[in-house]
Amino acid sequence: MTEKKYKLRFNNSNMHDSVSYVLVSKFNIMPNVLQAKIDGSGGRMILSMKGDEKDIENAISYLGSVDISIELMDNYVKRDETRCIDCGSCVSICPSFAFEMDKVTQDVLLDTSKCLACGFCISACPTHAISLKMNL
Amino acid sequence: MKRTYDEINEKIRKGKAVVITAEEAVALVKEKGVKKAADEVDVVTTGTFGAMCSSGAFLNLGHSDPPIRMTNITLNGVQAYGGLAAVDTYIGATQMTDKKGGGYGGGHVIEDLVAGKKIHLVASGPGTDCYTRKNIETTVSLNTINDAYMYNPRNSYQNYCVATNSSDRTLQTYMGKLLPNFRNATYSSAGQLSPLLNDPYLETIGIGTRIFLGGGEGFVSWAGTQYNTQASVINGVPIGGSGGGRTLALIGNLRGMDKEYVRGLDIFGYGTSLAVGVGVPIPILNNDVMKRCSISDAEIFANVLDYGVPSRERPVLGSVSYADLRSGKIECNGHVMRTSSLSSYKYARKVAEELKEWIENDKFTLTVPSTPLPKEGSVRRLR
Repeated sequence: MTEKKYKLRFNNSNMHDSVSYVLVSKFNIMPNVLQAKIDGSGGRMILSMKGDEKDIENAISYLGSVDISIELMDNYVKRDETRCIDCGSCVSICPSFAFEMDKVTQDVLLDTSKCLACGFCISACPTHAISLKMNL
Repeated sequence: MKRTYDEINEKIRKGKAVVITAEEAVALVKEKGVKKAADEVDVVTTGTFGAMCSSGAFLNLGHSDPPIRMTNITLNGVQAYGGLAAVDTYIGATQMTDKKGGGYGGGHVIEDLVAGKKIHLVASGPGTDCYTRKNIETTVSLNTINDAYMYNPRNSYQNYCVATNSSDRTLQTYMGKLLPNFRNATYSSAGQLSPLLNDPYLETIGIGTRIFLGGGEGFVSWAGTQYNTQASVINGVPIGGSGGGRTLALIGNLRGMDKEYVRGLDIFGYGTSLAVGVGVPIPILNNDVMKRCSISDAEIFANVLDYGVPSRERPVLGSVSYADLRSGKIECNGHVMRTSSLSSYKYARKVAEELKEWIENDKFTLTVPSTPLPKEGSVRRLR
């Protein structure tokens, strides 16, 4: 079982489709919508998919076949280690507990697999060490 | 046990001084007791690294030809003070750029100076018979200007409060982002490593004490502003947020500082500041000094204040120890809050370690204060 996050882009012809239903019923995927936004050209969604590697692969080809563009989200937030001072300003404000203070080394650890791509940490960082790798 | 500054400096010169950090002092005293630890140790080094808004630097930019008396001065678009002699100025950490987007201020100018970067200077003046020029636009750097020394009116707060937020919206404060309904709490102190918590009554720290400042050498020049001895005390140290505590005014040459320990900060919704690394050596003159240096995070407390109430007298929800705060979660007044620090403990440790290394390698000796800092001090209110 793995979990991966994707950015989906809908257009006017497929924005009414229930993607989650198809993913659950046809591909045995546990979907989790992290963010969704409708705009002039259709809509965008950040979706987490949990399931077998093979099932996720099949789901991705399905989404492509119905013209939903899909992009893997890896390391949504990026940290510039030369700027980071390990202060901790990002730790208690992260809703998904992606940042953690190492009790021994006092390094601020970042677990990108927990990141829900909310971007809350970016403005919380006083040294501008955190930046967006991808926008919703 | 009694030891003098001279004896300690003699040992430093011979490379025989025993130096430990305030963090190591906690463990050593726990293991061997105060008396034995005091016999062994000559110096305890402390450190802190966090936002210190009351910081800045005096600069003398040098005279142009024809000369100008500068009254309006900007450095990289950040206003510097124009009310000193012709080319003297002061750049303060919280002065912000007028440029759209912001995010850059006096603290960043100081960081860039220390990093040796070129700074864009624009200045104008009235034009006088002795200073005929009215405008200048040029580039300066730490190497090209005459003088550059940091002078920070208030640094190294003895202790500080913990901030939380009872309101129903996120607050953007100098204590960081405070989530609604007590969801988090933030604090800013190096705790057991912090200079003024290891010598809480300033028995060894006074005017003229040589210190680590921004990676270079600095001195305690005066009592810091808002110097206050009236805070409530627990375990021999003031409780953070119970009326402040003692503070230090610090001075040091920008030349010789290290940009690693001088960092401009942009605190969202508040403004800019400067993170300064400060380390103070504490000479182990007697058993009492050793005992005070062994204070641990579990014994140092800070009040939890509600920043959701926009008043000078913010409600106190309770007090918690730094050991609890560093665990990542506290329970206070029935609320469970996630906690995180705003000052860097990792860098505080680096400061104390680096100062220790300097002393061990005879790069730094201790100074006897020329004058002690005030025994009493209180904060007046603006009416």
